[in-house]
Amino acid sequence: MSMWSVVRLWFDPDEVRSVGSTPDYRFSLANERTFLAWLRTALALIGGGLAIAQFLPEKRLRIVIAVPLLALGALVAMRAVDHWARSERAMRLGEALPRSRFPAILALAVTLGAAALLVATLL
Amino acid sequence: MSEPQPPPDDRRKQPELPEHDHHDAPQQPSGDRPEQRELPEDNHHDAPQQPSGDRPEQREFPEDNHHSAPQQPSGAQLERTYLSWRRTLVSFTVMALLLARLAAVHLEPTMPAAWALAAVALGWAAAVWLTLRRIRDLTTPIGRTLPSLVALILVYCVMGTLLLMS
Repeated sequence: MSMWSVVRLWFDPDEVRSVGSTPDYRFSLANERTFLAWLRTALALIGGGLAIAQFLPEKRLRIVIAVPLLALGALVAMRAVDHWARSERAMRLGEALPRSRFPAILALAVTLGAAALLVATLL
Repeated sequence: MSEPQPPPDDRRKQPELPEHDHHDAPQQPSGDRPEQRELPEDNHHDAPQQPSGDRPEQREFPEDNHHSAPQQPSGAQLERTYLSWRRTLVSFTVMALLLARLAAVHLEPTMPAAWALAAVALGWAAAVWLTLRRIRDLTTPIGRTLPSLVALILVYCVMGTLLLMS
């Protein structure tokens, strides 16, 4: 799929429903809950960024930490809707669910960020 | 003491075959099914055999979910999804409050601050509306609710970044 058709898949519900057959509603609801869990992850990252932006005393450090957290939250939110649409499509077509490296990458990013902060605090 | 109790139970469970039930039950499972649908209390024996038979009923009457939840593999799907939406709304509210505080503190009491606060409030109201609408129509296809919610979050992200950088 081209990038544009992927974006269309996000915003056009008819596009998602145009292929395959409607799966068991329990699977659709589970997919929706997974999306919401990812969205809460994104909101937690953004909320953390906004909190740091207000409660950290030093201005430069504030921006260095808060802006990447906001960007990461936005990325997680966008990826959540993308993954939801892909999973929905796969379920309709009876295909295997899309595999993704994103959780591992996110975990790695959070770990590295936390380690960098720890080092910065100790130095 | 123990003898008077079984008869009423037996009568309810085995209205037509009081004696031959043990032998006949495995031979005619299809004949038992319609009866059991009407009497969900008798489900213990056959519950694992007919999970698919109950599914359409749940779809038509999602409110009955609580009653039949323990006997059916579908569980409280609608309730779980409903609660998931509520949790997400709580997270969204926390983020909106933090952003509102950032705008109020950062911009001081000026006209831009009022605009920023109004924008945050509007975004929050939109999220509440989307959530309530989705919760109400949980059994219908989802439409554009999810990308709309993500778009709201992205707007908040951009606003926060702009406020921070300014």
